[in-house]
Amino acid sequence: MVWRLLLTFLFAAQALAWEITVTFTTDLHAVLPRFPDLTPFLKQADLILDGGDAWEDPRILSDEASAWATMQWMAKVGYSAMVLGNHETYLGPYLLGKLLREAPFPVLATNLRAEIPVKPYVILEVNGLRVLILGVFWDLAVVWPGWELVDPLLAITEVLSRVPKYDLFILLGHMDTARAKELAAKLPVKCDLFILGHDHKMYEEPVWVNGIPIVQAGSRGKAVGYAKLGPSGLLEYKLWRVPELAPSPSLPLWPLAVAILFLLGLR
Amino acid sequence: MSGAGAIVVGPAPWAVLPLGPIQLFLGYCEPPFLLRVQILRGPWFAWLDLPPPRIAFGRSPGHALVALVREWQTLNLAWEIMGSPWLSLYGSLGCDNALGLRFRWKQWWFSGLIREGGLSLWFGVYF
Repeated sequence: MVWRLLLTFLFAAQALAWEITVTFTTDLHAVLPRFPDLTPFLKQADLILDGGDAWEDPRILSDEASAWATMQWMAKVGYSAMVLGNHETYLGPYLLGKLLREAPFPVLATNLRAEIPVKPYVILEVNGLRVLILGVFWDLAVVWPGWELVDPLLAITEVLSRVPKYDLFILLGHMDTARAKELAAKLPVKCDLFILGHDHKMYEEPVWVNGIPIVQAGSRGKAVGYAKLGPSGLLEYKLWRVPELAPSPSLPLWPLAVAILFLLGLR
Repeated sequence: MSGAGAIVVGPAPWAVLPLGPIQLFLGYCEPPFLLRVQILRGPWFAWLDLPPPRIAFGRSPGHALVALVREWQTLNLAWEIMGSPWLSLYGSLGCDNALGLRFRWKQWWFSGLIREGGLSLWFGVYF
């Protein structure tokens, strides 16, 4: 009898003592030369997530090839999910649709109504736990003809009312910090981790709002975020600054040549 | 730009029919038929209109769309800046100057356009 009770207690204690580790990037902006440096950091976790703005960058005039290369690198590393950022919308609905159809990981846009294959939510099974992941974006997004961008809080509330049972909730957000804090303060359920992208900030410590840890890992592959979650919430958070070994990509010249041709005339 | 179809009602109504990478424009304007071939579809955008031959080249540098539009003798910079998901400011600079405000709701939009000193109102739906 005592042994049976002891075993039951041990099993119960084991069930309660779970841990899930998450590594994440934010605002990668197709900075291809930096990717090999990030890979070993990212592969140290159960879940690899991205906070948006991964596939495009007007500062380096990134092209279609770099969007594909970034998506394929993310697939190879084993990203579990990402949220759409405003820079993904700059790719245009046609190219973005093609990338989304080929991406082997879910790309979330809980608050977007559009005929592109984004998902409102995903539930991933990790270490026997069901992890619900939602992703919302807002600021500076281009809303293409026929698209509708819904208020993030309204969209989250609607999705939460119909999702299956889950054990853990991670929110990916791509918006400025002030809006993210406002959203976190109004969330109707407990959120275990809020990974934020958009304003390129390096959070050495989480920003706590309404008991929700908001984290962010800078931009252009300068850092990788790491979070360990347990039954009591966030157990550990680290921001790994990644040594800058590779130079940033240089600007292509052909768009300038095309623009000059337009200005001078095609005759 | 998206390859979507549209019906637009205003002083000179027109419609767009999407046919894969080609769009057919039909309207009460000159020319009444126009064929648009999408050459680049992101992140650089380029398209060719026939007739008359007109070529455009653009990009979205942030939450705006800008495109250089070249006809045989004229050059324009077409642009649209998103103020919010519901509101945008758009216009044209160069040989043809115009300024408009567009309100969107789902697939519907309503716009006021100032061009050649006059205001015109437009209403459209994407499909």
